[in-house]
Amino acid sequence: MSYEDDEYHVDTFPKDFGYGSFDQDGLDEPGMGGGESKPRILLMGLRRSGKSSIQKVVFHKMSPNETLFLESTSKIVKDDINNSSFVQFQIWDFPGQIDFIDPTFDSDMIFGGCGALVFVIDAKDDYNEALTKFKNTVIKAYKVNPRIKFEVFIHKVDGISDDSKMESQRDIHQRASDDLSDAGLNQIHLSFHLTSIYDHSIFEAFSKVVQKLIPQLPTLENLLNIFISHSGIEKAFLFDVVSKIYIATDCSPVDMQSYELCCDMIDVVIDLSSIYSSEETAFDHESSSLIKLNNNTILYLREVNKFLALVCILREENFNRQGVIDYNFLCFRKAISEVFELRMKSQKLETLDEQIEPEDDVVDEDEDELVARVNENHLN
Amino acid sequence: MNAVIALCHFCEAHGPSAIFCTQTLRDTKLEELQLNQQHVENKLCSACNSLGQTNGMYSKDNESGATFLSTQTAALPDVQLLIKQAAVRSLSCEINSNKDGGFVFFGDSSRGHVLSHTFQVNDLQARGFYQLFSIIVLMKDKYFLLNTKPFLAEHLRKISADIQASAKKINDETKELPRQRRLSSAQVLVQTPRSLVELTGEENIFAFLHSHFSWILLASSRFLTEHVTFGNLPWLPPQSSDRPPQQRLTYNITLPMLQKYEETINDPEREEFYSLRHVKEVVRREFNTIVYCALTGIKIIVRGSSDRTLNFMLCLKKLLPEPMHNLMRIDAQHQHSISSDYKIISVSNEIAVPMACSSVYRVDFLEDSADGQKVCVKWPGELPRKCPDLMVKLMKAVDEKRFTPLVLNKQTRVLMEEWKNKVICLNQAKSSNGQAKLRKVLGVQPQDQPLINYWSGHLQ
Repeated sequence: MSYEDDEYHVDTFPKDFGYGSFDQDGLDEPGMGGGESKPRILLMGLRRSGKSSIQKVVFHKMSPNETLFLESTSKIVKDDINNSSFVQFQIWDFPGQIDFIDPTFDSDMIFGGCGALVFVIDAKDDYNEALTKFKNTVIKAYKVNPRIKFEVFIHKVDGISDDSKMESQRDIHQRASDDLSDAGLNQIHLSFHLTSIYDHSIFEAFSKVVQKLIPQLPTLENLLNIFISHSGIEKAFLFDVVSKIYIATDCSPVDMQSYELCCDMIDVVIDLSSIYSSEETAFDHESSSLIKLNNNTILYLREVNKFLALVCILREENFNRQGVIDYNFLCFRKAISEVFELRMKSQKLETLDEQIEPEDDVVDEDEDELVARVNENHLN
Repeated sequence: MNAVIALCHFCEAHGPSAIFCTQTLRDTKLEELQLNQQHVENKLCSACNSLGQTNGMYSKDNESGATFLSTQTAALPDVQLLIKQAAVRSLSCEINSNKDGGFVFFGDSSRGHVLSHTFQVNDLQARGFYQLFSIIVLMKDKYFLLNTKPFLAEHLRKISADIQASAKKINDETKELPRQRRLSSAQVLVQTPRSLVELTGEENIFAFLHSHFSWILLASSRFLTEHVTFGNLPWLPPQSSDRPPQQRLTYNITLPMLQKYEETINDPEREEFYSLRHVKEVVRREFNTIVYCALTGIKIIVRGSSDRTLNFMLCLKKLLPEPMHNLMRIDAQHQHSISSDYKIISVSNEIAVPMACSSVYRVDFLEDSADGQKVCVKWPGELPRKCPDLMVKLMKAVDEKRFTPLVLNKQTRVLMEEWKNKVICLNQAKSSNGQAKLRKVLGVQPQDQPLINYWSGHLQ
């Protein structure tokens, strides 16, 4: 009735600091950004478990302290994350008070196009009720859409001792699995994450969730593996700059501290270039940064495309061959953009992985050639 | 208005629900309602409660016989379900994020049409420092709801503004507390959301709501009434106007005069002289002739003192469609305006009038006649063998014993409107061929011609 009077306004996040529309390198194609084709991440859980806080902190840069003042969510808040073509999804933040398992709600609508269901459980609270709701939700969602990935965030673990963290994770895991096997749903795989908005654990957990929705993940990981093994790099993350979730990393185990370091580095780079850059955007194709730490470690950041950054951790002595690393990075960037192009060409997600395989070989050859050359140089 | 107005609340603990429903009951007896249903959910928090499950408030409008009943959950189970769904939609889906509260219309024929007004009420102890409320108006009749929207919007907004204002007052009183303390108290007390009574500090807030909602239900039923119209839609301007503006002016002047005239003479007897039967009573056997003359435009001169002729004139007025009402009180000052345009004329005794002839019908009110005869009718003319269709129908209606005066008046009105529209319709036809066809369609017979001749000159 009076829609036109009211500016629709949900976030506290300034409009200009967002993803904007995706138009990188002319790769935008109609049909790719359609809301229906995007996988959906559902944030569910009891009231006051921290769903909206997670969404605000991860995707809207809200400071964790400010989330205290968030009002309760009264409706499903849909948030479009329209980032690089790897990171495209919708986040639906549900009000915890409403029971969406009720038959009056259209469960096909809710769970139909859903990629992942994140169930948030407040670790500081009694979680019996949460587990009951979780069980019902999983059973219903699985019935509608068996392809949903179920993720459990054991949330608000800041301020809890490590022992009790582990204990509650074990307990919740045990009971949730028991509940599901009682319901005859042994085949459902549940992932558990200990999270808190006051450290980087929530970003890490969300990274894992998002990664599962990226069909090209094996390819990206493969590329990263090749890249670090030939450049003397210890760890490399491919970051989504705005949300600071990493969409891929190499196969070596992720150390929380190194992830935090890389996150902080992105913050430093963005903040500094926001202050001193004459450009409108803080992050562009020339962005690159080098930070030397006092333990002979170097953090190295390079821009991959408008939304992605590669952040590497390497030993200082390996950095004397910076030219090689830079060259390898260019190869890596080229490979990534080729993966993008392939994805754009192919509308069918299922066939994507097969089509990318030959690309991998090409890259491999490049890298091998490169390595041969590097070795030569080294000998000389 | 057959609607349900409900106050809905998004409870921090239990989600959206309707906490206070007011509905109109017409045929349902209060005793038949099962107010103490057992199956209500166990919502014990104060914010989800208003009157309590077993209490109700009710008001009765004696004039229309409608009862307005307010209860926590709607009294009828079917309505209860509709209200529940509408409440969820109004608070969790169709929210107008306008801070002042906007209006959203949604619904369908099976779940009812809903006008929803969502607004925030300050509450320092709630998350986000406010609680979300909405007032919904649920109705089956979509167009009625949309048409009364301006009225509903105005008054719902007033109610929400009242609630917000009193909540703000309470809010300001507690604002002196340091922010930190408020924060910690918010953390502690959040388990028990505060009720509307606490928020507004008004103990009788639900009685206040009941009276407002009932009034809205009552008033909006009067706000919009339906009339059946024939022919031209009343809000369309007339297509052509070949009447000189001078006459329009006369028309505009005379109407207020007539009204004034009607107002100044407050004859208590007027109420009973209601219908055409009054005319019949006065003129007796000559009733058909006077009806004929009135319908076909033969000049009728009613002579007598004004307090006696007025009712008679008012009844005769019914025999002509409204656009032809140029009823005018004539006295010495206005003699000049006796023109041929005025066909039914009332004059006082002292004014000289033309003799009765075939084109002048005279009705003279007599002073205290011995045989009960009130008037003397003089008209040398004769009725045609076949009277106009309208006249025949009118006579039939007047003679119909089962018609009360009210029904008779409505019937008269309907017949007049029908023929008015027929004449207007015929006026539109340009060619005589078209007119002949139209006559056939409309069922116009040759005996109706005098009437049409007369009326078509005055109706556009």
